[in-house]
Amino acid sequence: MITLPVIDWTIVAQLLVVFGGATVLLLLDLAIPAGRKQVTAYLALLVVLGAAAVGVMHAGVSGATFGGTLRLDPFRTAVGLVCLAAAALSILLAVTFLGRHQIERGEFAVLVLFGVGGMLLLVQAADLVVMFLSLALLSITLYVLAGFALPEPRSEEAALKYLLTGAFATGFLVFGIALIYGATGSTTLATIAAAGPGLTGEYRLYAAAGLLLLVVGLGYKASLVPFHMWTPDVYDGAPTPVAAFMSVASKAAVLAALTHVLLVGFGELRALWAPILAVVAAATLLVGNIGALVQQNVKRMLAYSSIGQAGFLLFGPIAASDRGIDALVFYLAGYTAANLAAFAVLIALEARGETEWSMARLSGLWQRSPGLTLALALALLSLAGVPPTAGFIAKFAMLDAVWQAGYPALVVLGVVTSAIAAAYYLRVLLRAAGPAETDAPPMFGDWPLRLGMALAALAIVVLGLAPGWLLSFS
Amino acid sequence: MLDPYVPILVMLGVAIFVAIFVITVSRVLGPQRPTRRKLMPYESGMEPIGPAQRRFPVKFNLVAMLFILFDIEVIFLFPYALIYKDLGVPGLIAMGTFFIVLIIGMIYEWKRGALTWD
Repeated sequence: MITLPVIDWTIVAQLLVVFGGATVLLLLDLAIPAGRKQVTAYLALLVVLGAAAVGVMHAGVSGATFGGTLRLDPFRTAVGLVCLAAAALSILLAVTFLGRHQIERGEFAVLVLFGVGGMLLLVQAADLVVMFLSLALLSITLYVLAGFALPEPRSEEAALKYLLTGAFATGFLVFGIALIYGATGSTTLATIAAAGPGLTGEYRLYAAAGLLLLVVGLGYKASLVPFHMWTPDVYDGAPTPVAAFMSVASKAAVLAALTHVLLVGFGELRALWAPILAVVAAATLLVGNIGALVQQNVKRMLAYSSIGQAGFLLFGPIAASDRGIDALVFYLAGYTAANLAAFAVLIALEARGETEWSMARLSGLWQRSPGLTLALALALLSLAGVPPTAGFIAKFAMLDAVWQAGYPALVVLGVVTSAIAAAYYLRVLLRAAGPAETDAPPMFGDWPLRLGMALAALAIVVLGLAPGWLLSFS
Repeated sequence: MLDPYVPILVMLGVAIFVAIFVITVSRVLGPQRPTRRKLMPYESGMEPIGPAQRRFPVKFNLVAMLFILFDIEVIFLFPYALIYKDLGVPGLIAMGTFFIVLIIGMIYEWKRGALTWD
């Protein structure tokens, strides 16, 4: 008799809700007639909320199952909730957008569900093979979602670019896993960590090379410099709600996985990876923010700004402390709210057939819609790190964490690039406050979009004014 | 650490050498009297019609994908058949879940019309 491992259902409950819901919804969607695909989206929203409820219920749970390949702890639960929140808001923002652009297919919501399931799995993974599998799952759904505006050539181009470069990056990841397995004889992070101190000579070299290849593979997904080239093109070409979803949720999941690999699996090699990551973070901050400064297209500007934000997110693993982890979760939550609010404003102003998102289209927004301008202002000020928004507390916590960890140069660079960032965020706001330059684009204000935007804006303010309840979770 | 792989390298070298050696020797020593028939691509003795790289419908891609999916399913079935009794009811549930997921995928493809050719 072969004994099967005992499964701890509390740890996999959230995954079961998401994947089970997605699978059932895939079948249900077949019975929903073409004009009423919004029903699928709302059902998907229910699934996401259910999974979030399970996550909140298990907030304090720590443990592992499936032979230690899946793990749950407060950090993982928190990042998972950020991913679910991003998915829920993205669905709300997309519901009417899809109909407006005549790409209303039920698969959208199902793909978002499978994607967020992949993200939860990536966050919970404590094993390199599970990480690879979940990364593949979330990547494939995002490739399809990037090309979701199918007859639109820009969307197809974005999907193809993302797929080709993504496949290339995955190659690095697999090779890294193979080298680590060769050196340590295991793919489970805890076993790799235990084998770490015993490694000598070539074996140590192989493990180190494997780790760096892993950083390349994961860094691609998180759009760290120098693996960021795809980001502006893909965000620009993909349907706007999809760009919003992947700019926040996949970044959160990948950063969590990277943190686990570095701190749990290779904590012992910190002297090797910490300086390398510090250089990568510095390059990411500089390239992202200086790149955003010269953009005339708002979507490309947001893409470069998301690269810059990824540099800040990297401070969490570099600090390698509880303080850094807390700051990472808070930063992810604040960044998710702010970026989704900013994209929501773009979605509210995007009619069918608009392909170029020139900055001139935002000019004069204040006179036409103070509400949209307020949401945009909150989002951009939070991304820039202006008090009293969530972004200020997040940046402050991150800088504090790397300062404590002994990287004063990174702190200086973080402050300087935040100042650069403020310049291009404020340029957009000045346009919005100024007079109209072109024919005013049509505005759309249906309730799901308004609700999504309001929730994101509310989160920015609440996290900024009362950060305590999220900062003290660990 | 890499010492055990040296024989593979030797093997690779021998293979490359033998291939080059045989081709060179037969080219240098062998008699060469080409005729039209001898120069034709080999097509089981038939006269070849058209180029070898033919265009085929892109729909074939979907069928090929489905084939691989069910091919993998069968590969999982074989080891399961061997230890089916040892795994007992939990094994049956696990494999059942696996098949249900695959079947749901197939129903989806069917209903979406992936299996109709035109």
